[in-house]
Amino acid sequence: MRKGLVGDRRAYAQCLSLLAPRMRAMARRDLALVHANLVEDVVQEALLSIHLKRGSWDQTRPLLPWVRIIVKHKAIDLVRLVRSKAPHEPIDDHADIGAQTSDPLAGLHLEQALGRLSEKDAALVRGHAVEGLDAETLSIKFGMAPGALRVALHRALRRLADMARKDEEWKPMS
Amino acid sequence: METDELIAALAADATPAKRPRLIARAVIGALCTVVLVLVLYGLRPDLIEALKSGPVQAKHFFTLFVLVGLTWLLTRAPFGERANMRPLWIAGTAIVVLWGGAAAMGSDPMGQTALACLVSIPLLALPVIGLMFAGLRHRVEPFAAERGFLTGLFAGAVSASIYAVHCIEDAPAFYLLWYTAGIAVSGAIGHLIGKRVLSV
Repeated sequence: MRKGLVGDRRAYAQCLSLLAPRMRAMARRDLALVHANLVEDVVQEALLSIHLKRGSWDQTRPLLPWVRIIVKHKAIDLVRLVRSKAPHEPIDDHADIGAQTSDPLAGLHLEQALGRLSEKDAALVRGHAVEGLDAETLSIKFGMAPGALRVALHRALRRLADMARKDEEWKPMS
Repeated sequence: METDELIAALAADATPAKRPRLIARAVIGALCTVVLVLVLYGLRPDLIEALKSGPVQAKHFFTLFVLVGLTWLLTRAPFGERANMRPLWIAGTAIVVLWGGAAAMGSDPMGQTALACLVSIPLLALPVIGLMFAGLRHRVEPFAAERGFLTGLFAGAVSASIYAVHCIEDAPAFYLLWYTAGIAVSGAIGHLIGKRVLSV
């Protein structure tokens, strides 16, 4: 993470990839079994928050406690959101409750937030993510200068975080 | 969206990390407030003379004491935990008691400029509020409303300390009431902003 802060992107990506499983474990502990489907959402939103706020991490302190608090509060926020949107859930719809399955809903929350971004913003985020394109290819694809592209991506990520936080239309189970 | 995809997108974002720089922002905000007071309000005409008298010194000590107390409260809160609000209630009670005492001893609570004072302190706090919230946005703030409230109070105390060099009211019953009210209004503004813009 320290290397990532001074601009070593590979170290940064590696750091986030190393953090993700530990964050998943944290989120699983924080969320009750009924909310186990939110684990991946919590991890993703916490990652986004870590990224946008990494400048405020005190480098003289260990990283994990800082991450721990972010994950914990993202879990609290998401559960609160789900409760307020879906106060009642018939148990009949969850015949598989407790069953270990890979969850098709994992990552749904951010996916929906992404759907509410403008098309260009969403494409920017996806362009990097799904296709793993490098900056030059992307700047040709979007017809933007590399500098402008960098700013655009950053803004898109910020808006994504805001969308996920505000979340007016999210229906968790539909 | 897959988590690995997200990590790739985050790593691709080369915009440098934003630092909160709260102290620098607070100082710049306070300087803006100083300039605003000098330009829009002006110093009280008898400032040098007045600073020699006990009641005026007491007024400045009061605002500075509140400022130091709030700074202490803001910086002391451990990360990820709620701030301890008890000192705030103790100080509030003390101010009410002092005010009651002062008013009972015939100090004039209304003065000439009560409304100007009540409006000016939150207004002059705005530069500090704006800059500090711009910095706090880059921090992880689990208790958004509470942090916003404390920041608003702090900005109000900065503003009151500076506004005091313009204000000609020196009666304890006046400043204990209206300065405190102005600072409380700033706190309420901070609470509202905090709830909206701060987050984990």
